[in-house]
Amino acid sequence: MKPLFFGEAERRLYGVYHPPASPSRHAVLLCYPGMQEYNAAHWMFRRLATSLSREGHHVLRFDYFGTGDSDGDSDSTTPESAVADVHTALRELRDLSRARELSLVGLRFGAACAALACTQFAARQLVLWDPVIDGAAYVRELETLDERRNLVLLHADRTRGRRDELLGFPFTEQVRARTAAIDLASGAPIKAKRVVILGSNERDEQRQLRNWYERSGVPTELRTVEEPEETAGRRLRERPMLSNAVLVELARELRGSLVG
Amino acid sequence: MTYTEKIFSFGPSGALQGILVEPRGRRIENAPAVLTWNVGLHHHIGPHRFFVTLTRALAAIGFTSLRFDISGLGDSEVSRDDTRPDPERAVADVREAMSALTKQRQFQTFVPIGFCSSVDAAHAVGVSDPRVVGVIHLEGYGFRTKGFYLRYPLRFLNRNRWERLVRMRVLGDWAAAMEASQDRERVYVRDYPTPKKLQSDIAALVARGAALLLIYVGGDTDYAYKEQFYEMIDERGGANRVELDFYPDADHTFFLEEDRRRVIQRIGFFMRKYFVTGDRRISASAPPSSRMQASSSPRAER
Repeated sequence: MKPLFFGEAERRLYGVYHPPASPSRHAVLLCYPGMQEYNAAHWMFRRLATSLSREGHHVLRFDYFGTGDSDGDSDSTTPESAVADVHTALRELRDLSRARELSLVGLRFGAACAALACTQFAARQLVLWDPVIDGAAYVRELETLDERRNLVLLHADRTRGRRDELLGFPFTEQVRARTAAIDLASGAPIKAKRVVILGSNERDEQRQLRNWYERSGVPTELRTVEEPEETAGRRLRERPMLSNAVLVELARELRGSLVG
Repeated sequence: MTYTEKIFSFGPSGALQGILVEPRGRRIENAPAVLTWNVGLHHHIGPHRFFVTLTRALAAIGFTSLRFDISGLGDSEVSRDDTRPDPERAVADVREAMSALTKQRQFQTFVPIGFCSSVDAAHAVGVSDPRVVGVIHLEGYGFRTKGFYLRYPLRFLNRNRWERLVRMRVLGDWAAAMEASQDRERVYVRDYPTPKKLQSDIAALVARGAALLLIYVGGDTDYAYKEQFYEMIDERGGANRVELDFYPDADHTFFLEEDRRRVIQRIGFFMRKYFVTGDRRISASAPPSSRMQASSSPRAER
């Protein structure tokens, strides 16, 4: 495990590179979810990165500008800036690994960023894990959670009518508008060679996304992973120790990229 | 930018990872280094990225900080042979961080910041290690006192409590009820000192010349009024070099940005008050950060 800063001097990104257990020509970039779900996902991502590197992949997980240990204030992350950061991280991973082919795995907001980056990048494989497909629905979901959280924490009177924060982070009108504008199911075609959409339950919007990618000529598979009772039904921010089920499925999915 | 950040690897085989945050251009000579680490199972950035904002703000007024992961959490690794209990390992890791900062950056003194469960290691290291010249507890030890129970009925004057109660019990908002219940379940196994032990520990720290900042919040905690701490440790007249703040409107992890900003400002004041005096001078003349310049926070009960 090798932590590092990379990118431009005034816009440095923090990442952790996991070298493969054996020489490999394949690398995987892991894209974290949004900052509201980052802390809950961090441990899962470390476990996933460790597991994939043991399987023989080069792995890089990184923080978008304005999140984690990367430069920038927490109100400075937009979907566009995060997608630009994905491209920067792909270049860094290619330099670190000298890999011939790269794949991307993204969770929630990170899946949307990975998919948007693949409109310009020909990934070997794109794995979208519970992806944010409809940005407006995602914002509504987080706002519902935020309103409930403020109620539970006795902040109802201080936050009523305010929309400048979301689940403990600043959320400007500009970031809100840009996040709500995410629409993967009717966006630009992607260049990935194969897509897997992974989720704990199959939803209409996932089927629509699969159909859109298939129509664009990209083989796409929709996969459901059953979670054990203790984590099923709990939202991401409430399940810091996700079951092995998804991690095992992700590792199995990417194993095919190690050959050929 | 007013800071520089570097990867800081230390400990056995460099297995412990952190980010060293240093002032860019202006620094306080002979100042202690500030240490922050994991709150519960959170990664070292802290709840709502609190430690990132805090350490960068401290760098803006001349202090160096290390925010790091203790063994087995965040980006730090733990050896399979390491069978020490978590609290013991956390204390050893904080000491390791201090030694590494002495070796690599010549720091001789330190201020650990404990936040919720990480207060345990901050307090243990503070009491036992003479290199510690200041300790900050955010939501540290709280014991219910007679004063707490006397004030308990006042909670029912809080409109937010009634709103929550009505939503959960009358309107049947089960999602909110479940979330509140999960919050209550999130209890880490912690070894609280007795009030008497806490009193003697603090007396020992102060006798050694260390300064303490203790910040408590209201909400659903065991703390209800500012002076409760002194009642807890039976020290009614207050204590020299111990500063105490109570933010009745804030919650346990400072969910709202306004509350986080207030705490960060307060920590900045504390650091400047105790560690920018005498032979500790600022080595360059850049203006202090506006974030730290503001005067006392309006909502705090001091």
